Amino acid sequence: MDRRFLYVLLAIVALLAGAVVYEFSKPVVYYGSRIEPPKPMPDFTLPSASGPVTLSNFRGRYVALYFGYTSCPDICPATSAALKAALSQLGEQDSQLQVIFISVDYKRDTPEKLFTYMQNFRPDFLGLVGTEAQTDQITHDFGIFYQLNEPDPATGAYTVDHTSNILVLDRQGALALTWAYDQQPNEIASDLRNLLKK
Amino acid sequence: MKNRTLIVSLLFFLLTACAATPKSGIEVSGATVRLLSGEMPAAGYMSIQNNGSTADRLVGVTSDDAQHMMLHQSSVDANGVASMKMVMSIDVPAGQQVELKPGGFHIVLAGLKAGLKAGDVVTLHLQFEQAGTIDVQAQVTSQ
Repeated sequence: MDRRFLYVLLAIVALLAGAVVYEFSKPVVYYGSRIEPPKPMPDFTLPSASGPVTLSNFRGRYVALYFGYTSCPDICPATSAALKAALSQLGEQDSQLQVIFISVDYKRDTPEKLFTYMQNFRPDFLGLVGTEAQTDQITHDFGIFYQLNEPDPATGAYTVDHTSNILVLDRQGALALTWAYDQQPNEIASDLRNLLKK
Repeated sequence: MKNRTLIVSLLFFLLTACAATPKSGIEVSGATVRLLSGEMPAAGYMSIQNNGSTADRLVGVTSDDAQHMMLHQSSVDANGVASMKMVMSIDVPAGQQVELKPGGFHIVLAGLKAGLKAGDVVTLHLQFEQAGTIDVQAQVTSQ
């Protein structure tokens, strides 16, 4: 009787040990595209409504960097809303990620406009815009395509084509991961939880 | 008793008036307008179902709450480059459902009436080539 009890106990212990080993050894699934090894990226400084912002000042935290323009009513707000929703799933860990939106529409957007725009989402989201030369340099450095299209003759309004991926920089400022513009908030949150364990 | 009949008839009338049930078989559901602050243009999204046996197309939209409205299509290529263009119409084939959603077809509302806020409802007058004008109530959302 005692021996049978011992066997059952041993089986339970073995099962538990197996579960623990599995939990720690299973491959981590990322929904975004990993960059291995993370690619060091150049630094930049751009104006915001509250003064110049330098990328390297965020070392020690993760940065989600994406590009667009405030007159974009469709894709850019969808991306910003997804990041906001993902961060709200992270709870107190949300301070580990700084969200930075850079406008490539240097003709129409201003730091003040970007500030108002980002306030639609979260007060800690940063919106930056530079000169044409700065925009060209940064988009080149970060592998971002953009193009201001011809204005509509009647209204003068124009659209802007731009890379819509979100770039995730690690605590050392190296490009570690990219998300698509339509990455779901729970996928972003899951990736962030895995990154923050590192 | 008379009053009750009156109230029931009134409720029935209101319910039937609220549901966008046109003659043509076009049914619009889940209409929303995602509002951003300031003068930034907003995007309108919805599902358009064509229950009829003839193809139709959305050719325009107006609203008392926006100065300019356009039909747009966003697309994202294999390199992740997003672009947006104005389209003259959006096809709604017979028996099919077309989604106006982020990253695809959508309505752009520019010059929005001041003071609009999340929770408000705006009336959109959708103009279809076959079905004519169909009014829908779109819920204003913040995101």
